[in-house]
Amino acid sequence: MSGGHELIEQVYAAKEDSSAADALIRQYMGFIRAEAAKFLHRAPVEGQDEELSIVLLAFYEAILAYEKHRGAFLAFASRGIHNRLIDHYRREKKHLKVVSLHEPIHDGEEDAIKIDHLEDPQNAIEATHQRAATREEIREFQRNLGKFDISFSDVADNCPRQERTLKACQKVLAAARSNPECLDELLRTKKLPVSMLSSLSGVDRKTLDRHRKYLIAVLLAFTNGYEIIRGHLYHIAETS
Amino acid sequence: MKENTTYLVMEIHSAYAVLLDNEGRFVKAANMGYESGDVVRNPVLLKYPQDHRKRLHRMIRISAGIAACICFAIFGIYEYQYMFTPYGSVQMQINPEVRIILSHSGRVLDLVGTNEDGRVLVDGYDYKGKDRYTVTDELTDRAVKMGFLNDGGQVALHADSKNISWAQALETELADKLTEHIKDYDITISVSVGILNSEELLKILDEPQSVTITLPEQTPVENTESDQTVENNSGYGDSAYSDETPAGPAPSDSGGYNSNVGEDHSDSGYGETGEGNSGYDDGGNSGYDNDDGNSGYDNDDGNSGYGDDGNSSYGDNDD
Repeated sequence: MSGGHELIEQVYAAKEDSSAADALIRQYMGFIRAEAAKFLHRAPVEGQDEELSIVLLAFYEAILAYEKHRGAFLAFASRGIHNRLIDHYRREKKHLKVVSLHEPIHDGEEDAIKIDHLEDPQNAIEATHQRAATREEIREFQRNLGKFDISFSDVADNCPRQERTLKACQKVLAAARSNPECLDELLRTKKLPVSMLSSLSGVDRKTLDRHRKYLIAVLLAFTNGYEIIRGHLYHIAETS
Repeated sequence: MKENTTYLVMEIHSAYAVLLDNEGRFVKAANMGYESGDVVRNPVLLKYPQDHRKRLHRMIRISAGIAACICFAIFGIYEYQYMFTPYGSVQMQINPEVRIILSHSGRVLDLVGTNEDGRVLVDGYDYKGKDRYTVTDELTDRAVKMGFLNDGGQVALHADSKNISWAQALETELADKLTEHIKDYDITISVSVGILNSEELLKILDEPQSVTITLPEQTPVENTESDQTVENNSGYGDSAYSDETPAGPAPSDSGGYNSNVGEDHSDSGYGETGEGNSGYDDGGNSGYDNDDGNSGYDNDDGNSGYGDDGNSSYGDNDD
C-alpha cells in the first residue's frame, strides 16, 4: 500500500520535473518493455522497434495525465499505452505501401538493410561536420537558456499550441527584431521586457506572461550566435 | 502543421525528445532513436492531457451547440406553424359576411369578405399582425360606422377548425370579448355564437320594425250624424235592435247587408211584401204570438219574461 503511495508521489513529482520523469521511466523500464511485448508478442529491441518508443512516450503521457482519483497508476498507464499503440497502428496503416529503408535484404552471403545499398547524395563527412556544428550550437543555446533557468523541456511545455497564440508570439518576435534594444534588455536584465514588447507589438500582456519561457527562448535564438538554429526557423524569418 | 515541416532535435530524454520545428514551435515527441542535432520529419508528437481536456470540452460545446441549434430549429418550425400557418377560421356575420383565417396562436392571416357587403367592409382594412380579438372588434366598429350594423343588430360568430374544442373555445372567447367591447356603444347589438341561416338573415334584413304607440284614452262623444247613418244603413233594416240600440261605433257601410240606402227605410232586405212587415209575421204579429197579440213567452199578462215593463224588445216592431 505504501509502495502505491510512493509511486503516486513520484508520478506527481515527475509531472513538474523532467529529470524526475526520466528517473521514474528508467525505474519502470521493465513494465514499459512488458507492455510493448504484449503487442509485439516478443521482447522489444531498443533502437529498432518503434513500438518501444511509442510505449515510452505513452508512459510519459500517463505521468502527465494521471490524477489520484483515476485509480492505480500502472493500470492507468497500461490503458494509456494500449490506446496509444492502437492509434499508432491505425496511423501506420496509411503507410503500408511505403517500403522501409531499414527492411533487411538477403544478398547472397551477408545480411544487410536497404539503406546501406542506397547512394547518399550528401557528403557524409560534410553531414557529420554539419551535425557536430548544430549540436555545438544547440549546446550553447541550452547553456545560455540555463542562465534564464529554463530548459528545452520547459520551453516545449510553455510553447503555444494554438495557431492564434503562436501568431501573437511571432508578432512579439517581429517587434523585438525591429527594435534591437528589446533583445539587449533581455540579455542585460535576464528578464523578458514584457511592457516594452507589449506596447511595441500590441499583443496583450497576459499572453506574454503566459508564454514567457517560450518567448525568452525564441528571442534568445534571434540574438547573435545561433546561425544554424535561425536558419532552421526560416518560416519565422520569412514572416518577421 | 505543414507537410514539409522539418524538426530539429534539441534535447533527448529517456521517454521523449524535444524538437524545434520551422515555425518556432518547441514540441515533445517520441524518441525514435534520434540524436541531438538531427533534422527529422513526421515525428510522433506528445499529446498533452490539457489539450485532450480542451478538445473534450470543445466537443461538448460543439455538441451542445448543435443540440441547441436542432432544438431551436424544431422550436422555430413549431413556432412558425403556430404563428403563420392557417389552423382555423371564424365566420363573422353581421349583414356583411367576413371569413377570418387564423393561425393556431390566433393571429389573423387572411381576411375575406364572403358577400358583397363583406368585401366592402374589409376593403382597405389592415389586419396584418393583429390578433383575433382586435380584428373582430375593429370590424364591428367599421360595420357600425359604415351603417351595416344599427341598433338591435346582431353579430354571429362561428369558428371552424379541425380542432373542435379549440374552435368552440375560440367562439366563446370571441363572443365574450366582443360583447365586452360593444358595451361602450349607445346602441344595442347582440352577439351570438353559430351560423345565421338565410331565413334568419332575411328576417333581420326585411322584418318591419313594429312600433306600438299607446294613445291617451278618449271619452265617448255623442255623434248624431253617426247614429243616423247607422240607423239608415243597417242591413237588418227594421230589426228589433234598430230602435233602441244605443249609439256606438259601427261601420257606416255594412257591405252586402246594405240594401237601398236612402230609398226604403222601412223594408228589410229579407221582406218581399213591401208592406213593412217581416216575413215572420202572419198578421202584423210575430209568429211567437199566440194570435192574441202576445208572445208565447208572455205570462199571459201581456208582458214578456224579459221585461217587467210590458215592452219586450222582440215585439216592439209590430206595435
